[in-house]
Amino acid sequence: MHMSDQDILVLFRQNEIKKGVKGVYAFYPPIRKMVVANSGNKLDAEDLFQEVLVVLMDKVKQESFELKSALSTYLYAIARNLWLKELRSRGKVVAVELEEERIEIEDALDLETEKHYSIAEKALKQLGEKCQQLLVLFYYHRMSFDLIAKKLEFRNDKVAKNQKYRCLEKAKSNFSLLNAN
Amino acid sequence: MDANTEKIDRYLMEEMSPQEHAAFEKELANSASLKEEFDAQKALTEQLRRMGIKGEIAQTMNQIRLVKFLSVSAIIVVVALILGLAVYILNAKNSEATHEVFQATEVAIMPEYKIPIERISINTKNDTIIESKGGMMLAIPAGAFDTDKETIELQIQEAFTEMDIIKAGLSTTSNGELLQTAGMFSVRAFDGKQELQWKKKVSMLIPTEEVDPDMMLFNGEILEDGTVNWINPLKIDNDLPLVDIHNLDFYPQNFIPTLKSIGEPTNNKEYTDSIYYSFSGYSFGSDDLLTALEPMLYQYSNNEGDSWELVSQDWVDSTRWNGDDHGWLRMTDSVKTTNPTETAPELDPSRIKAIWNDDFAKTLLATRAFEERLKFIHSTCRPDFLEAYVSHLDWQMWEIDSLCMTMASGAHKEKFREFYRRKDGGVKVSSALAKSLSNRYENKQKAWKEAVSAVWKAHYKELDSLAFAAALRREKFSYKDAIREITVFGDELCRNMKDAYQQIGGEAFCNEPLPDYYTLDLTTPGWKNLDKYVMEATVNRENMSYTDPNTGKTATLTYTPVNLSIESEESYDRVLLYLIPDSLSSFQRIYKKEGAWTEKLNGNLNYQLVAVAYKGTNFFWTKVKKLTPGTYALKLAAGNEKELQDHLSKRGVFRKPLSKNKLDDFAVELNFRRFEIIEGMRLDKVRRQQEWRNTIAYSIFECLVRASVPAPGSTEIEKGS
Repeated sequence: MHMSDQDILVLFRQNEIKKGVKGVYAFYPPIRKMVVANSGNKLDAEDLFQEVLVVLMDKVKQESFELKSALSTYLYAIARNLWLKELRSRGKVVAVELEEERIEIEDALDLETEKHYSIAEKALKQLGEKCQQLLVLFYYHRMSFDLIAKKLEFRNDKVAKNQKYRCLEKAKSNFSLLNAN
Repeated sequence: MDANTEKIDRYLMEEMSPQEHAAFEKELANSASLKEEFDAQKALTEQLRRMGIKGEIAQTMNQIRLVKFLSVSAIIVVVALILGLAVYILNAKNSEATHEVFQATEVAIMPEYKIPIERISINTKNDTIIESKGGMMLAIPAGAFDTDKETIELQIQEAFTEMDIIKAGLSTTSNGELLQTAGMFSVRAFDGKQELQWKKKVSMLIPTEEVDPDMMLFNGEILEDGTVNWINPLKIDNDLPLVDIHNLDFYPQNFIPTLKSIGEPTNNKEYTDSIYYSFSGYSFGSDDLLTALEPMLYQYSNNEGDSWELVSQDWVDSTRWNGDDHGWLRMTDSVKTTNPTETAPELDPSRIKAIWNDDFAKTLLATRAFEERLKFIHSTCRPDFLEAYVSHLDWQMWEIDSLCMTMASGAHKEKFREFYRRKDGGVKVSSALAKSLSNRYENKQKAWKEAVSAVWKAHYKELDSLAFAAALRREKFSYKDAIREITVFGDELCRNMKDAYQQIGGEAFCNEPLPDYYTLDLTTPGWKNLDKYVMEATVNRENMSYTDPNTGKTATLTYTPVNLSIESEESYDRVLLYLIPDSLSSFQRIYKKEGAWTEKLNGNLNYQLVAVAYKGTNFFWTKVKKLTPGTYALKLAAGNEKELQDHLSKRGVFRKPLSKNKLDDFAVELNFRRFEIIEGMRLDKVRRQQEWRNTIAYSIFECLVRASVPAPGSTEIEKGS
């Protein structure tokens, strides 16, 4: 069925991620094309698209949010901005064409918060795969320790709970180390 | 366990009682350390939420891809069925009759009260794929309708079950014989009340539960009594004629013409193959070649001339440099990041290598129909199109065309649609064989690509190391040469000093031997006026006349010009002239000034002259035993360096043989010049090869020049689907 831009926004506002992603998946190819044409690979493109949707989800939940262009254009513009940022952080000289036609998307986050997020991201990435999984299951999916223990093959819920605190403490100490630097 | 962590956790998870909540917030406001911990934990929790969302998005994307893949096969099934169906391509412009059939069908046979109308509004500016309630898919290209309106309404009626068809009283006859039908439908477009004409073809896919291999494509024809007759059945399963696969042309379309244009023979397939396949894994935008041609070399950390580093351009750009004590550049921050090489927009020749052989001689790849498609696929640079054919050898050609249609967009989609419309059949192959061939393709392709890439990598590495060695040698030479020049200048200055002071009855202040390199410091107090004059005259090679205020005596230095010309100078690749002053430690080079070989000779010195030149690696030389001011026309003769060196070292050639130091310097000089000639020829060759390869590469990788970023808004986006 044909979904309008507004339908899609509503889905994201209501955390209907699966349906929402289906609605915007058609916008993915041009973004992938842009990434691949600018020193990225398909994995980067996928990651970027996910990042874009996370931004979109944050934005649609803000009361002041108003879509001023076609959703496809809007997402593409966010993708360009994020990709530019990523390229810069990789120390790449950014192609002129990518830079020039940038559409200004007001940043949802102030610099300080954004810095915190990127530190948090690094702090979490420094953890083991299992630790990350555990924390996401707990904090995002709000899964019970019982279920987490089954899913991640811990002996019981107590072990899972214990592990969760260890992982979080480790993340915190990573965070404060990174923050200090 | 940290008590704070748990507390913050409970707060963030909103598990606190109102009292606890308030108490916590108070504590937070008062304790900076708690606030810090809180901020960290909050950022982490928020980031985890984002990671969770990303994970879910990623999962959905994978599912969509899976669904896409599944529905790709489903569409093929559906396409097979359409053929048994009815009017499915509406084209008002090209076929008035079809349009009328459509209208008649619509107006006369599908009254609204019998079959409900589904209304869908679409944007006429976009390519649109919509799915009807009955599961019918319509691919409507942008601008399909004769209107300027952006939003129009489609009205769809469908009769896919036998009951629907009977209820609607639809006809299913072909020349009086009853046809088994899988369904009928009507699609009309409206702008308000006004029905719109169709300007472009529209593809439709109809759902079905099973495929009847006997289904055929019929065209609708309106009869005088207003009923529809379905004519021109087209049997789909028409095998394609096999052609000797080696007689087909699987090269990109511009490859052979390009070879011809640069004078390569094109009648020997073994030769053209060897060129073509050598481009497997070819990479562009890599710095390999740049470094190989123009390496940048810097000395760092000491001035012994032993620590050298090869530096690529991007490294220099991204690093800070400081001059050290001797003015050499020193690197202060040294992290070398090599850019990953960009691989060419693919259709990698290894892929063609893997299919253009006897393995595939009995498959649909060995057909003219595939040859034509491959030419087009080359222009798309998308290996997935090629792989669609290679991995479905047991399908009909048009089925794969249709598959490609679903994978493509824009002009590519249109082209595959055109192929698809031809309804080209296939070549019978068992699915087991098809599968094993498809695997073989994959293995072969990878193996070949890796092998060729490895060869190239090794080649570039070798170019790199040759270039590095050359740069190192050049740098070491110029370092030593600079010292030599300064030394010989110091000699001359000293000589002039002694002479000038003698003339005014004094004694020169001139240290011997001079240091390795000579610091000129004109402002040092204590230097007498005469020193300054001598220094200036020596630097500028100009006459000097100085009268000492105390003694009234005058000191003079003279510099008189000599002009030289070389017979048919333009026929040489390189010409070098050397002055050999008798009482200085080394030679002086004469540099060409404003197109003329001219230099001023110091009246205090006796000069000899040596001229050398190169044509390719051939050496020419001549000498002047005693060079005096005036004009000389030099004629060089072929010879070799040893001959020249022998002459210089022998008594009788000059008034006396050259000093060992001069001979050594000359040996170094000649040695280096020959090396430069050879290195230059090597680089020329590399450059020519690279130009040759680039020219061909552009003919092979057709998207190479076209790759660019689409601007937002100009991007084609398919809505729906």
